[in-house]
Amino acid sequence: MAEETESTKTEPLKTAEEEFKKLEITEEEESELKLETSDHVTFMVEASIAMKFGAVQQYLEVSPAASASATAIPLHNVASRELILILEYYRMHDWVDAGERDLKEFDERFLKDLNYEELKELLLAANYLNVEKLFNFLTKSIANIIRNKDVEFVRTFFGIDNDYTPEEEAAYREENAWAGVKFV
Amino acid sequence: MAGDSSWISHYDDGAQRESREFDSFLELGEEVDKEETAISMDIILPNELVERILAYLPIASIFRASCVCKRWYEIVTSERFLWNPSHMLPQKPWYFMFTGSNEPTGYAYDTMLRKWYGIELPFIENSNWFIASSHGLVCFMDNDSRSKLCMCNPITKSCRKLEEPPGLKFSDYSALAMSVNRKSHGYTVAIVKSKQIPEDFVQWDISIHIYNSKSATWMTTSTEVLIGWRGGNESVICNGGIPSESRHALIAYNISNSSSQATLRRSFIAAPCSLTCGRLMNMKEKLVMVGGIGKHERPDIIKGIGIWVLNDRKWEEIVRMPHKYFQGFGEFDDVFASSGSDDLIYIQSYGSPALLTFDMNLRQWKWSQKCPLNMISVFQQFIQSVLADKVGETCSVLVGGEVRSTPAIAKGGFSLVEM
Repeated sequence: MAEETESTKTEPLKTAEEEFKKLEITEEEESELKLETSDHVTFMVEASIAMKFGAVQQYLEVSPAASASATAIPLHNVASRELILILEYYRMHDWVDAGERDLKEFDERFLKDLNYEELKELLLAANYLNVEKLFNFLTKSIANIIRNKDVEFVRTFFGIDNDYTPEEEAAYREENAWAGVKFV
Repeated sequence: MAGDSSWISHYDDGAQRESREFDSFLELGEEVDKEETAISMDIILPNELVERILAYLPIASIFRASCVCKRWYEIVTSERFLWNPSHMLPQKPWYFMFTGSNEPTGYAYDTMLRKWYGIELPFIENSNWFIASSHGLVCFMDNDSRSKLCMCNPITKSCRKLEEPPGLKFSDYSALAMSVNRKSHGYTVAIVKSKQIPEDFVQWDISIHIYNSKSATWMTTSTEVLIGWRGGNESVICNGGIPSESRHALIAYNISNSSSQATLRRSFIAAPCSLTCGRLMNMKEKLVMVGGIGKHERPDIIKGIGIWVLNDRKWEEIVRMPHKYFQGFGEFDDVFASSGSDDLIYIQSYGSPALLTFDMNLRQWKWSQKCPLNMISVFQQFIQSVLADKVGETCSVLVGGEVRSTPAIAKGGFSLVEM
């Protein structure tokens, strides 16, 4: 009798333990994806974050095996330093405890630490990865930077050569004088 | 349609990648001063990304951006950029007013940036023309023959001449209304003409003419003789109907379904009270009227200004201008202009430089920034006011005051006035 009761007691315990172990394993397997950047650095990234990348979703739709296998998902147009920044941004914004003020402070600091070139590279990477939140944040931030600047600054910022002839430019100056166009 | 799915197909690897790597190598060598020079000739953002950035800018900055280079000019003036509302910031309508001269120049006020811009309107020859506007497009009609019509975008300065409207060539009163359909990018223009029948003081011919940009033709949808009423010169297209307004009544006319229409006389909607300087406006497809409320014994003296909305063929008062704002106009010349679009109504007295706005959404009154010109010379001869708004991306002008240079006409000059 006693033996029987013991075995019936331990039985469910064992299965629970096994379930738990299984759960742990599957969780581990599902929770990370291997991403490889253009400069051949591999990253193990939380699936919850990696699945926010449109490019990763798309890749997994085409080859679903990649989510379980050890093969890295290639990110052709993202270098490791950009991916590090993108992950930093998303980890912060995913963090449950982050309050509105924390995020605002984080965003400001995040932006301050980037020079204009990095900003543009990051925008290209965000566009390639198809990460909406960061993409919107970057486009908006760049708009804020050029908002009240003159034409010359905008050209410099975007690395654009002025291809207007002096005559065209003069005509333009007149036409758009109302908008406060300043030519340097 | 790159519009809704603006995520862009990216570069192919290869060349682009190499140049970027080269660039980063350079950066290691030279510490670039972030604020002053951040120059790179290598990272050129594709058009779609530039579009997304520019979409966040106020309208003046967008036009400044068109001066950067030819490619950017093409981006800013492209149909896709101009009509794609999906990623645009909400823009507020602008207020435009003519300067005192007869020249078609004036100043437009952007309430978001609280800034005035000097603007010259294309096509229009002088400032007493009829003006109607909707979503950044403006329609002009000359005040002499009332047959020269033009649709334009005052910001891009593009214009299109419209065919001459049918009907009476010289009407005594005309009202011009216009509405842009943001989905189809088409527009409808309506002209209400009325003329006194010769040697008869109570009968007036009234006709309604509708222009559709799709068919590019005019249709005369209604002609009728009204007894005891005459047409005025204030009308607006709202939700497919064109109401023509009056001191005492309003005609609501369904332009999309003219066959089943009752007679015009039967579609009269009485005004809430005796009004002066009444203006109709389409506020998010709600018909709103702004008007001066006359003193009981002297209806030509304004004691207050009210705003009404038409609900189920009845005018409901939304708000009355608080006394301190009414007084803020200073000596209130009893002629004032008002104009509105979206959530914003502008009110301006002809005798004073003050411009007051009312936000329908926030229920908030606010004085605008003073116009940067010599007010006295301008307002002594104030002529007309126009309201501008931004279409998605293109800013433009809408109509406002219909007051002609002689205030006598102005006072009695809008729609159906009881004789």
